Amino acid sequence: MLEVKNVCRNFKGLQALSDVSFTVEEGTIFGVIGPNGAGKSTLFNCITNYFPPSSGNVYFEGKEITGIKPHKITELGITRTFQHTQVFPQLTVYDNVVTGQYVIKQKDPGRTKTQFDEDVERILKLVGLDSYRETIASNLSMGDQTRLAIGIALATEAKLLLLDEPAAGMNPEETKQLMNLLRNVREQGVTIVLIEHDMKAVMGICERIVVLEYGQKIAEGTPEEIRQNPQVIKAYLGSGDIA
Amino acid sequence: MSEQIIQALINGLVSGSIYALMAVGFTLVFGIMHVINLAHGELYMLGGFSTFFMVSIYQINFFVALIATLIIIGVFGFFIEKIIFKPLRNASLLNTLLASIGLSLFISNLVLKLAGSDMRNIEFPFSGQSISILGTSVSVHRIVVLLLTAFLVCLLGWVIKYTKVGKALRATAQDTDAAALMGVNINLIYGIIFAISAGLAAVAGGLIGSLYVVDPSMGMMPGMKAFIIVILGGMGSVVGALLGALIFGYAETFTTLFLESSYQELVGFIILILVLLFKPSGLFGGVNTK
Amino acid sequence: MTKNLNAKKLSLIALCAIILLVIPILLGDYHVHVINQIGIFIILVTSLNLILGYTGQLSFAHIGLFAIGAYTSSILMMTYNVPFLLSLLLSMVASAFFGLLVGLIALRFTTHFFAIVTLAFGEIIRLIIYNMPDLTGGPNGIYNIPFPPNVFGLDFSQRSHFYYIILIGAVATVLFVKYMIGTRTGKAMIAVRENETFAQFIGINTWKVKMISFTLSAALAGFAGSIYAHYNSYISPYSFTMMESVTLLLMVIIGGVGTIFGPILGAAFLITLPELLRDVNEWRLVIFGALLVLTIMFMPKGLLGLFKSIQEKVKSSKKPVSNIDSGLGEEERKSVGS
Repeated sequence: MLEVKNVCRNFKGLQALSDVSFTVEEGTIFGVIGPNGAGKSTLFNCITNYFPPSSGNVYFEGKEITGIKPHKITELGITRTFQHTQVFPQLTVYDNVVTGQYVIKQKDPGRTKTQFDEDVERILKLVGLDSYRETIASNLSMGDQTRLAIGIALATEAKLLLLDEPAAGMNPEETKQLMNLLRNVREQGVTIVLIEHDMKAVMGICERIVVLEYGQKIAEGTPEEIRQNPQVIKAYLGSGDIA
Repeated sequence: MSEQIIQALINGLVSGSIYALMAVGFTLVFGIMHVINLAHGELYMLGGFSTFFMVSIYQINFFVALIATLIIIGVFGFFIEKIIFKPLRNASLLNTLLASIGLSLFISNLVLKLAGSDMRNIEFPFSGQSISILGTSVSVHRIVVLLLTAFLVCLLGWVIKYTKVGKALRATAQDTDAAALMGVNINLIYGIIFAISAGLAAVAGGLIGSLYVVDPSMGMMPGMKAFIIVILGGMGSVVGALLGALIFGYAETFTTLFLESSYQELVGFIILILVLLFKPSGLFGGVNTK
Repeated sequence: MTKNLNAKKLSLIALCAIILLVIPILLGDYHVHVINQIGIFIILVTSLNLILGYTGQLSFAHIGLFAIGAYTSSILMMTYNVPFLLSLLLSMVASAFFGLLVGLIALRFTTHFFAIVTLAFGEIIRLIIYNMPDLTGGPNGIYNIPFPPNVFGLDFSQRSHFYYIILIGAVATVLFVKYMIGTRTGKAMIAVRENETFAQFIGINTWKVKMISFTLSAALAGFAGSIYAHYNSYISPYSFTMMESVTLLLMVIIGGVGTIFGPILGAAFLITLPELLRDVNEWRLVIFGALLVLTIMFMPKGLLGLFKSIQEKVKSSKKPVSNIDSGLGEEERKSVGS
């Protein structure tokens, strides 16, 4: 579904990503892990064209999407969230989700208002915020804001969600809830790529995992394979980040 | 005709040098404090008035009056920073920009109410005298203005490069937090930057007042033009501001030479739009702060 | 409960409507005149609020687009004998068209670059008007612009009659903007204001949304311009200076940027103030300058925000008022548009 091919990215001579390739299969939850500064967010930024890769290509459903405008990428069916969760702080929870539907209106102008409204309701229920619909987003807790961000992403009817450290700053209970939410989302047929720091969470939920270190892919495989990969163990031990 | 062109070359240089005094201060304030001060032109206007009052009413020597103006308006600038811009340090760029426009409206209309809309000229010691350069007569007045602005720009360069204050300035420009950690008093530095910027603008106002006239509305356009020049030269770059000022001075002078003078005001805006469209980082690729 | 509330709301609206309708009968010519001016500026600042308050773009070009509406309508009616309603419509079209052109260039930029480019366009429009004396009367302006003599067979040749045109215009504009921000595109505008980068990444074509907002607000500025010209019967380039542009911004900001009622309050306040204090009139711009500085410094959310926070404090201060800026674009990524 998503193919990343030989992607490189330099910042003023610094190689933030070098020659990273992998493929994400439809319907899976795919993990991207690595120590701080390994280039995980840079990878997302290259896929969604926050900035283009210095070289290499990104394909989505067989079509090249390298360097396409961000809103076009969302139109094609990829939506991302940001590391420090971003929502529209002065809008209500309900209206935040509505903003995600803008892109649907472009793709499917015939959809009726009732359908749109039902979709919002469904999404609010799914992310567990249906009792907060009139709350101003900035008054939500961090965990709720993260779920709202996922709600907005779902409203774009993305086929592929890229989530950048959604569990950052959550306690174990909240993380568990979040992982359940992600499983539910996947049940709806959405493919997920997850950047995560919390190794335990990733191991429990992902079918496949890619490990980055210093901008390079050092391992790829199932959680079991990753756990036993000596290079991964070394990378995480080295940075004191072991799960 | 060639006589006319030589005069235009000199006039362009003179107005370029006045713009340079304005733009250097503007770019310092933007580059270091991230403040777009659209009241910059009013400091220039106040400089014009301050010089006028000293020279014409108290009969103080022009050059002494200019130095006094530099200091008085500099101190005024220091307090403006403390009273208005310091509390707004965490506000967005656009909010400080709006506040500075409010300040501009306030100062220019206050002076208009107090001093009236009369146009006043500042007497200049060597007015009327001229010398001949390459067969063209050039007024001593213009040469003095050129020398003075050149001297001030060099002095500023020397201060920035070799003095302790200058080092602190440069450190703050590069990284405010790191400079603060190294013991630089950021609040003081910000005040000093604003004072320097205000003082230079004030001198520009005094010089223009001796060449042309002083009136309460004289600051509006030059303040705006300082912003345009800074964009032209690259935001935050001092060298860019100097070169931008010269280009701008010449562009305006030659427009008046070949077109009606009522189009002169349009030139700046058209330059602005063209530069932003085709070279948004400025002609001399400024240090794009932020 | 909700039924009760609705009944209360409805009766309040009805009361307001009746008061608004009988104003010209109850009040003298002078008061009606002041109220008419307020009405015209409500149209103008409400349209400015669409781009400034709801879309977060600080535009100084609004005064120029207002001028285009005023000149178009005057010239059409006086030189070409076009009937009032048609010239009103065409002045909206003209302003929207020039708004579109300005937007095409200016909206390539963000934050302060957008501000200065729109400022440039505002001045360019004024200078062009100044330099086209054959069409616009140049610095002398246009005199004796007629009141609309006859609209649908009704006579509007008096101030107290003109009042109803302004009333309908103002109500229609306010309702339109209120409707607009309720739509999906309107929500997208607010999204752009709140966080433009994030908006792009959830599929909002931010450039298009800003263009729509800017063009609509231009059309409404043209609407206000046409009414202004016919009501005041005289326009000149000096009616459309940068100082006036700043006054408009102040009306929106002092009332409460990004709210429906704020700009209405701001316009009413700033037009009434010099009228109430006759001696103050000469100091109008000095006061406005000071007010702009003080508003930005001490109440960036305007009078409405102030009332709200006082209200909240009175209600036994449940939560500290969150420290949000006036909602103007905080975003400075890449500093120049994509």
